[in-house]
Amino acid sequence: MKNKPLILVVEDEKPIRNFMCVSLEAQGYKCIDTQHGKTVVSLVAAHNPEIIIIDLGLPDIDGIEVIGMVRPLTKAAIIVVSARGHEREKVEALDCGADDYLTKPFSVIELLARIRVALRHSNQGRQPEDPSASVFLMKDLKIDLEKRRVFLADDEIHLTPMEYKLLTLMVKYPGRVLTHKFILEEIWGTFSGNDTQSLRVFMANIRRKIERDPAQPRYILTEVGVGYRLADE
Amino acid sequence: MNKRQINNSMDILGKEEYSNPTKQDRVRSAIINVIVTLGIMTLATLLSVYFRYIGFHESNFIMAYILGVLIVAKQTDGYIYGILASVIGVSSFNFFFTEPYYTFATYRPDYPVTFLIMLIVASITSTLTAKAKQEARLSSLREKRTQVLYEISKGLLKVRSINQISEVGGMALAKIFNCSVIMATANSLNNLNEPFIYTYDNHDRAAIFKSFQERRAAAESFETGSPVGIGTEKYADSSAYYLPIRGQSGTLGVVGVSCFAGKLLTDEQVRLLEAVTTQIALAMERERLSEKQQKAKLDVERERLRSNLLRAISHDLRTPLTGILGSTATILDNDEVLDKKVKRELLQSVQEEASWLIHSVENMLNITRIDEGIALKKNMEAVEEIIAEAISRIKKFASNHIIEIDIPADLILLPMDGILIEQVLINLVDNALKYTPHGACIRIKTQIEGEKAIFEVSDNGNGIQEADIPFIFDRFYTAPTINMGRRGTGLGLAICKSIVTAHGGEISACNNPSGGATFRFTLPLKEGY
Repeated sequence: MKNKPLILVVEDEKPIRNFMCVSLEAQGYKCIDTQHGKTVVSLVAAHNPEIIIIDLGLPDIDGIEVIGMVRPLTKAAIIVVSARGHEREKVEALDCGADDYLTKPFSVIELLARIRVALRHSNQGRQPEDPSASVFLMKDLKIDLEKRRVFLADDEIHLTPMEYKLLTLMVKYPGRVLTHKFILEEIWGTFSGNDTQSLRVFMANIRRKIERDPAQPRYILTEVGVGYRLADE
Repeated sequence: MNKRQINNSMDILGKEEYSNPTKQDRVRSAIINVIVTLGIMTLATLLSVYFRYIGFHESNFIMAYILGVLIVAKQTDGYIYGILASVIGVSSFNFFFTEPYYTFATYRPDYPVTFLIMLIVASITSTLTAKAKQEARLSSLREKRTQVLYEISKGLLKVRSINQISEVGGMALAKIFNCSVIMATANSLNNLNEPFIYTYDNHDRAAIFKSFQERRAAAESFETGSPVGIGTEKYADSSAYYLPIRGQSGTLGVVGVSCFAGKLLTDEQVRLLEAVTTQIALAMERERLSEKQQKAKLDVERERLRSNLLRAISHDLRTPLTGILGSTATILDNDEVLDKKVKRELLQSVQEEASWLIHSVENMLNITRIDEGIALKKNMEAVEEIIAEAISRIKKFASNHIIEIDIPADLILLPMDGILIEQVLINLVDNALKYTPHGACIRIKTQIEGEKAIFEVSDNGNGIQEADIPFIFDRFYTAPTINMGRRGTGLGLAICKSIVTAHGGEISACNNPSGGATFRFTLPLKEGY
């Protein structure tokens, strides 16, 4: 039988910690929890969890600092939890090595969805390259990575080289939020705060080609103040 | 404010009166005075020669010379030239008109007495004339000074804010003295702000104020409250004169006037500087008082809002909390007795109450944040992205409604704080969800009109009571809702208004002719608000 994935929950509020652990265990995950940010490093070293969920507002140590210490030690996916309105904090955490974020208050459904995305990524990393992975399929969108062609419900879509590059970058990380900074560094190689405007223009152009209604996107979702996420599931 | 008027009155004041004359100017005026003296005395001599030719008595020669001295005293500046003319007159009379002619010797024994009396008379007349002239000059100077002060104080009356006062005062001083003026005002912590430098005509003169030494001198003057700089004991080697701007409540700032080539300010100039500085101090004090008053008013207003908020919180939160407490207590106490269905119902109501609480608390947090002054984090955001995200958040509550979106095909990029504008859209849609019956259609529309982007959230529900429209954006104003069976917090639309206003836009509500209500807000297309 397959091993249950282990999840480390770092949260100082007991009720929240409780409900997270209960609902995670109900879904068949194993769960360890702590309220102290300072113990995270030793817990990670001892148990090697696959996913770490960490609240950024810990009383004893800054959550971002914890991420900085843990990131070099483990390949575990790190999901940060932070309040709405603290977008800058989230971006900082993501740029420090966190993989995803949850905005408080969040529902159990959101929490589980984020964990599934994170687990899928860590599994992909371990499995040998799937030959069919050269074709990406989601809803009506099909991207043939080998032939560099994009189809929407069997109609071929013509993207400029830059648009194609952007789309394939998003396809590499389905379901995960990519910060503006990350995307700009990957595509243009540099980051200077003002470039986000041109990024928005490129994204708008891609959306006009692949989305039926750019205001209700099915593929490329916006995370205002943070970045973009390619829809998953 | 009327800068031109001040400028005109400054022009009345000739530059030579208050501006410090340079060395060249002084040499030139001395040469002119000497030439005038010599010329007039030569004319007096020629007149005397003519008198002798037509055979007048020699007392007329003396009168001619005294007349010459009088004219010299009137035409030249200062005593020296009058006295010089007296000496020249007596010598010429001696040289040309007493025997033996063309020598300074005399035969008659009474001549020395004549010379002496003539010299005394000439000297006294010339001195008196010069004094009268000086007095006239001074009184006209004083009159002009009064006029300048009047104009400055008139100009200062018209401006608001400490910065504007120091600007008007600094410009006026630079113009009067024809030099560079530095003006630094104290901030609320009683430290000097970064100074402003004003120059008149000559721009590169401003550079002298940039040196560390000058800054130290200005700070010293501010701290000690006494004049510092050239012509005083402290920092005498600096190239400007610093005067503190003193008000009743202490030193309000410091003003510095540049003096080049080691030239000191005259007493007259110092007096004028002090007078103008007093005017500036008065204006600044007035401004500080009105600022304080304004702040006190704001504080009272904020306090009132806070107590309103507290009242609303205590009232609005108690109801759902009571519900949650009751439901959970019921389940815990009667776990064995209750059947599954009842327990589920109770839990569902707990969940509903809790999500309503979270929503309310978010709103209250937002409004307190706005009260403390929103720091907008403006970025060029794509309108469609903001609308898309807002809808994705609200969608789960909108299963009973239809949401339509109408945005132009062209991408619209606007400077805005994306998170806050998203909140505005969420609140407007949420409002529509609450006040329209199930099955109603909510439409979000965006378009560009001139320099503005227009956002509209309209519905085809029952519309707003006309009587409610003027108050709909007020805090804690609520109407009975249709769907949730519970009234709102009365904060959602108030938050919308605060956010839109902070962006330099406008928000309004109206009823559609075809039924339903429309909420409409605008955002400027360009930064610059």
